[in-house]
Amino acid sequence: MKWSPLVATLFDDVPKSVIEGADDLSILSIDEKDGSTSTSLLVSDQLEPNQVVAALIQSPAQHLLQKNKDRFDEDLDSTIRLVKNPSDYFTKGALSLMPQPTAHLKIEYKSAAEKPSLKTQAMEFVAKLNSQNALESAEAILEELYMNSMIDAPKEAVKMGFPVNGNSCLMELAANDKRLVISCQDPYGSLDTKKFFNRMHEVYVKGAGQAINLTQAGGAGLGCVILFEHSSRLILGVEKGIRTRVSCVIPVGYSHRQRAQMKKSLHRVES
Amino acid sequence: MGKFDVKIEKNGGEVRVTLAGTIDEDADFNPHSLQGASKVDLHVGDVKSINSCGIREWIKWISTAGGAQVQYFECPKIIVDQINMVQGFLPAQGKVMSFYVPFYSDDSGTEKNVLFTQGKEYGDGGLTNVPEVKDDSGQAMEMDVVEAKYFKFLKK
Repeated sequence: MKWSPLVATLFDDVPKSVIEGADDLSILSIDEKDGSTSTSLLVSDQLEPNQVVAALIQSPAQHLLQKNKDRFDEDLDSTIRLVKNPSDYFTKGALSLMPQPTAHLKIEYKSAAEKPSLKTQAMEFVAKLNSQNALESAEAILEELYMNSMIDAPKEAVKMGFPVNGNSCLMELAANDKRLVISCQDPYGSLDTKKFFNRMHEVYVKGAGQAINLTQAGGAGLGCVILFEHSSRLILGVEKGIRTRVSCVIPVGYSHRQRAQMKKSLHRVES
Repeated sequence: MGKFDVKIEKNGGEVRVTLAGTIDEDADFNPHSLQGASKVDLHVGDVKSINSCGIREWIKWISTAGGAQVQYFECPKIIVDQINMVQGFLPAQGKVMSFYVPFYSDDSGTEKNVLFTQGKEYGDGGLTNVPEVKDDSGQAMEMDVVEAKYFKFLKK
């Protein structure tokens, strides 16, 4: 395993096989300023999406980062920032994942009537990247993020007794020549990441056709997997009762086939 | 963003349905039950996107066709992906008569969607005749899919 010089000073690499079929899953501990090494992340390069989810369900680690050729150093730097300064994820939004985008767009919304305008602005932004497959993924992700923020999140907030104050949601897009970040923040903080991961696991294990909710109230229960399938990295952030931020990183400049072969990473950021 | 649109033409028990636009939480299939049809031809070439709520509504709606013969035409990639991922999206007795396959040129980065038709490019067991596709500068393009994944529904 070859680390960039910056990373080599931060990590103590301890190989450990914890997932069936993943021989090189490593647990990396980050040295904190006070000398402790309490926070860890998992790194691999061979886990299938269902194994990524299973790993984060089984492990106390909050981040599972997978290595993809030509992308790993930047993904790792971004993950280190998430681990060391999780509050930046909420205050800086998409810029915490991509500090220097070549294009950046923020759209506030608070009603269903704004969906067509939101999608038009967002899709015009993505169209400028000249990538048909990024465009398709962006549309799928925007649909799910919008629905979660406007329909599912406030319902869950009411169930959890959190305030539903009518504040705006925020859809944020940031892009450079290799990545598109789509990040959505709602003002509820009602996402239960454990439940989200368990639902993803259920969809992967049973299959979407068996797991889909056809009869009960609420969503179809497939959005979590749709987000993951269209992303190379999925980041779930929750400040309980305050806000939820879900971000998806979409690779840009790759064919469908190259993207399908990329390994996926999953992160949770909680405060 | 394309608005959801349904067009239905009936000829005895045979029904031709054309869907277009975005199939999402606002898409209402309720007025368009397929009950009583003996054959349903579903044309979906102009479907622009479908979200998880749309998938659920689609499955509930297409199940109203009961035992009718169901055929899907001009399926874009987003529909093929659902057919492969979500059991029931294509009914057990359903058949895909044509669908789009993305092609890509590594040299120019050009992307093209090519329509594959039952009996021409594929049969019941899988692909039979992959066409030669070229980009605008005459360079050969390759199928831009993981074949085992994208053509999975042909093996059913």
